[in-house]
Amino acid sequence: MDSRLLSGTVEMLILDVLARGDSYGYQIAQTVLGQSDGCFQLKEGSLYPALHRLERQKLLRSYWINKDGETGIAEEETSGGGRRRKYYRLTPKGQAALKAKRAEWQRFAAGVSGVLGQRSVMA
Amino acid sequence: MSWREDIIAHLPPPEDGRQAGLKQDIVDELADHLSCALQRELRKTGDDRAARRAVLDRFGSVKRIAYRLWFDAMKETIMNQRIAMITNAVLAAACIAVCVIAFLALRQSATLNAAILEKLGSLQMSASSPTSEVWANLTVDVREDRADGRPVADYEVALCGKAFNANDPEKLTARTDPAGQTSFGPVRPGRYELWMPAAEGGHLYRRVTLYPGQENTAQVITPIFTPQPAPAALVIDLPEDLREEGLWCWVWFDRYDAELGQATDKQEEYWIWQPLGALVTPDDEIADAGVVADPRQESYRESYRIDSPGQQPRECFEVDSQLVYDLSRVSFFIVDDQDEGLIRRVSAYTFPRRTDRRPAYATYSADSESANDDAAIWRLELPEDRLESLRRGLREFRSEYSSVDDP
Repeated sequence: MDSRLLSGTVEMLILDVLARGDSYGYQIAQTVLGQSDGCFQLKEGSLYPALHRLERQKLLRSYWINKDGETGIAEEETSGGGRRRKYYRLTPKGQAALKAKRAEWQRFAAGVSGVLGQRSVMA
Repeated sequence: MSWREDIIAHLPPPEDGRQAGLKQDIVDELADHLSCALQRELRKTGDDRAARRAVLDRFGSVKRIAYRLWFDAMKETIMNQRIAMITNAVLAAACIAVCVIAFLALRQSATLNAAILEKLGSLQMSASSPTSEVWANLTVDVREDRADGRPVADYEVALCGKAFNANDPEKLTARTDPAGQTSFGPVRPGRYELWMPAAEGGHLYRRVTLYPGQENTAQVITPIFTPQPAPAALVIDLPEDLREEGLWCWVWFDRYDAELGQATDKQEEYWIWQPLGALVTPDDEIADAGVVADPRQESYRESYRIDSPGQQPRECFEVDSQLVYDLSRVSFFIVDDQDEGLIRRVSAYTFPRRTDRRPAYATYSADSESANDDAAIWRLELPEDRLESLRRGLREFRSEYSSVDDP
């Protein structure tokens, strides 16, 4: 998929993933990839700058967990060489922002779908 | 090289504790991501090298992402630092500019003040001291008559005279300072006379002409002795035919101030008579007729007897030493013994003034106090025309006298 179509939605996707629970960068990218059936592959060059930007905007809050004490993460994804992992959590401000972005996206998608549907009828 | 080392190698070196923590967070986060991705690829391929390459191919440039994260986090701080640096530079430049401007302003102000002071000084000088084109100054330097010429302090000097374009005379007095100097000025240009007190009540005298724009200096050498009386004598060599005529002789002496070489206005006047004559005193009629005796030298008038004209004088008179006298004029009178009221001047002779008075034959100086010294004697030898004039005067007198007696 053309990455330009994804560029305006990265932050919304991140917020949406984190709305379901705390997560870290690799897991967020894998979640988006899995739930989009392989359509949205977040590049690390976009993912981490977006995460840090959202954190500076107070939409996210981060914390660190040492890998020794962490649970609930899939085995294959916790056996890396890192000694600790950074988790992100959605803040109330982030929840409000997600809500607004969802509404905006729905209007955008409806508009795009409306245009595309009309053309198909005309065709 | 591990993920961490590779990422750290491409990040800027830590500058403080906060940056060091930030870098560590970035490294840990990205390394964790890469480790997870590597585990996943290893599970797929089983080849560590191929898995690592695949992870890096998908991840992209680790160092670029790490640097971007670091830069985004530090952007505000970096911008603040740059703003602070620029602000400090601007402030420093402004301070330097202010200092330079202040220095230039001070220097310009100092230059301007100096120019103003100089102008004020010149204006003040022109206002307080008249311009050189209009006025003149005179400095009088008074010194003793010694080889070393020591200055004479507290010496009164009077400047008398009139300006060129003035009618009324003016008189300025001043006293010398310890250096023996005093100044007159600015004074109006003109002809003036310097009067300074001499010993025994006399005055030293000197003419000065002050021209516009001149700085004049007059040096005055004052006598250092108190004049003392010294004997002097006058010998009048008359021809034989005139010796018995009973002539009176009236002699004027000009007194000269030794140092200034100028004749004073005062003349010392003495009567000298022949043996047949009588002493004439200021109380006599002849005195009342116009003879002016010097009241200061009263004793002189009784000592002028010349018993034998043409011979050495038997009595001498005295003059002041250190002051130079010179014969000025001699008049011959004849007096009727029968009538003391009858008197007639039969001849007069005026000696020409001499510019060099000191070695003159008719001067006297206390340097030679011997009465027999020729230098102490005024010797008068009248020229022939004067002798003839004297004879003619005598003849006229006798003619008139006989005509009066004959009837």
